[in-house]
Amino acid sequence: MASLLVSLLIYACFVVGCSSLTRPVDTPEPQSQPLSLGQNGSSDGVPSVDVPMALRVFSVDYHHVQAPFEIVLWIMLASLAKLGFHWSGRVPAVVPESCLLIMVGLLVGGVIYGVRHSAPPTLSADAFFLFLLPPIVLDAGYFLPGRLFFENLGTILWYAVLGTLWNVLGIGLSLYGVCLLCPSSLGDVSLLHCLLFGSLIAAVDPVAVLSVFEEMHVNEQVFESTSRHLGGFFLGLFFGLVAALTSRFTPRVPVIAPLFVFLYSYLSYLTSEMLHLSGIMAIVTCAVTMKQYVEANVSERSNSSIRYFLKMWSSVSETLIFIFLGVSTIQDVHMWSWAFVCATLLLCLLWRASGVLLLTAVVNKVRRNKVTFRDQFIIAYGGLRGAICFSLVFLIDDFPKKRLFITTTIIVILFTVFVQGMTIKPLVDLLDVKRKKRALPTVSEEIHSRLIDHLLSGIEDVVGYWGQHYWKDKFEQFNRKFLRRFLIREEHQDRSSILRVHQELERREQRGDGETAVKASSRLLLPDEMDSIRRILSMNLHNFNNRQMPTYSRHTLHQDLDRTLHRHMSLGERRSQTAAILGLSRAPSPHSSVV
Amino acid sequence: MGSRASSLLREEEIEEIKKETGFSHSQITRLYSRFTSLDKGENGTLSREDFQRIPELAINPLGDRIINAFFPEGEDQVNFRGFMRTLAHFRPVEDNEKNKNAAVSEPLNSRTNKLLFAFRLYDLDRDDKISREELLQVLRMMVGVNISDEQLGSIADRTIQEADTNGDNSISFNEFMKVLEKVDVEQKMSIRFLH
Repeated sequence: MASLLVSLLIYACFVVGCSSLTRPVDTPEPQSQPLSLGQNGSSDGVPSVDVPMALRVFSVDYHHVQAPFEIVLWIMLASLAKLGFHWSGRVPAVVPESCLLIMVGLLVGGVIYGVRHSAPPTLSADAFFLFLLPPIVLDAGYFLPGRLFFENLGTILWYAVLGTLWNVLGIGLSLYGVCLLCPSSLGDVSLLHCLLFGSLIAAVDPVAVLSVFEEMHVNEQVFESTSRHLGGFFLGLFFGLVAALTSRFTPRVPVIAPLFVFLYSYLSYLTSEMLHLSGIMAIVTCAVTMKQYVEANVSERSNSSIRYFLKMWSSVSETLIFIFLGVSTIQDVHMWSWAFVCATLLLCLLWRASGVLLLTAVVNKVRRNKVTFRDQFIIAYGGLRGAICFSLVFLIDDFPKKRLFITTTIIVILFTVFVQGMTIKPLVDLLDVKRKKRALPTVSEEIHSRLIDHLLSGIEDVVGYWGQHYWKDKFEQFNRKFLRRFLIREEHQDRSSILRVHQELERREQRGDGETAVKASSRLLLPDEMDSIRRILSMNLHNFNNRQMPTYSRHTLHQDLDRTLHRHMSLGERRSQTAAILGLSRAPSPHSSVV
Repeated sequence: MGSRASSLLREEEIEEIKKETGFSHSQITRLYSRFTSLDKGENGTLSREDFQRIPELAINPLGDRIINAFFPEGEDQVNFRGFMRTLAHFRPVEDNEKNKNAAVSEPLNSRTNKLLFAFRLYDLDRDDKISREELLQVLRMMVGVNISDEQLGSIADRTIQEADTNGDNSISFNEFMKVLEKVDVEQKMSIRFLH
């Protein structure tokens, strides 16, 4: 580990050395030189002629490759830091990765500052939004646990939207109060600034942050932002479907199949950014849409490639951001105000905690699977602010106290990452949180649950009730009839659902969800047997959905029932019934827990 | 009991059903509309054919057994009371009910009664045991025709093995409850009957 750290330092020096070596040759450049990763070539033009042979050769070559070279060095630094970090056995258990990355960043920043006596390069908005953010969001979207997400969509939106609003308003307003209390030092911070600050420091979920931030930054009208999100959504949908269709034709050229996933997602992001629509929405929708079709169309190897590349890119992005965070902490100008900083820290914790408690109290009245106190603690305490807050604070238009905001943001991030990050694990152990036990259910549970599912489905039919099953069924119907037939290769269409379940199980086992109840309770059952049983059971459900008798398709029959039901229910009742059904979402199956 | 008018629900009946099943007034009237819409013969009771006319139920692998569950032992017609009694099992369990002690007889939608309902889907001969054959029958219905008998047999054996604690090679109701103790039955076996 020590040797790796040393080599890290050497690399850092290398970075600094290279950039400072170009200095005598460069024309003088502005102080805060943004490391805009998208720039080709250097901003200066002419290589010097007066430099001695060896150096001249060197500098000419360096100019030529400066931009990509520096980029690679940064990424290399980040990755080596990660490697070194995980090399040691015990450190990762105590110190979260983000801490270490920030520390590395601090080190590098310190070195650069020491050599140059000026501020190190900071992240430009463009670089962040165009290059560093998309991989993270794409990763999140692609690996979204589909069923869990949609089943808990209500709760998720509840916490995300309301929680964010609560935090933003709370923190913003309280901070404004604090500013009013210390007119001497904080007098020129306006309410808008406070709210803006609140919005970027409060929310933790990047999507929420960015959407709130976008709203406040650009336009406060809800309609505008909704339409932007909707626009993004449809754009993403479009690209997702096109990507799925394209993947249908890739069997002859399997090698480039993964490329399409990335290309289309990124394209959807860029297109919506170009049209001032919500790029994040677009990319997430694109990923979620295309996933099942692509996975069915494309070979297993390509699937693995896609997954690994996604993980890799998002990991690199995150790492880079954290390192920049550390680097940028070493600044010339830090504006400090005890009142502001301490107030922010306190308020963040307070408002988040109170928000979570309140929201949970309400949501637990509606949900079956209650959100426990331990879950609440995690949601409240585990809210680590990260790189995104940091990058966003730089985007604020310049105003006198901007430095203060930046400093405070850095402090908050450092605090949350170091203090909260390091203490959450022991605290959670103390509370004995039931971590997501991905225990595969026993065969009995599986079979009896299926029985109950069929039973409930039947009773719902008797009652004529459009429950959650109805809409799921309807979508599956549409999916099977049109989408899958169109978007998936001929030979792969039937295999899909069984293959999916089978693959999911394989994946789980490979990922090492080792404490499977399979091994624990049904002492003798081998994973393969379990797989085959599962395959059998899931195949049946597949058949069940498929077994449509010609005269009795789901849609025509409901028209029949509709007519009779209409006689007994007014249209208003029908509509409110449907709306109520859509609003109430059931809790997830007991085999998974929600955090 | 010929005309529609005489099969309208009377207030006293609604009260009685309310007491027995725990449904609210509006839920009962709504389900009554559903009942009458299914009742093609308009005689105030449902027959098996009336149920079989529900198309999705026809495709449901357990359709016949579910229909059977509505009819009391040996009868061919079910009236509205019986209909509601069966549906009462699927009422969500409310919090204030959980604390009622067993002075009152256990409500129809308690966890035990829900599980008993499911249990009875297997246990046709009502001997309070799910034998291997009964299990195989249900498995065969759920799984379809693509599976060989040996595979099915091994699944059945595994199921029994996991549950059986007294070694009689069948699953009693208590063993059944034990196996499902981790499953959130109250939620899984509930339908939100809207008010």
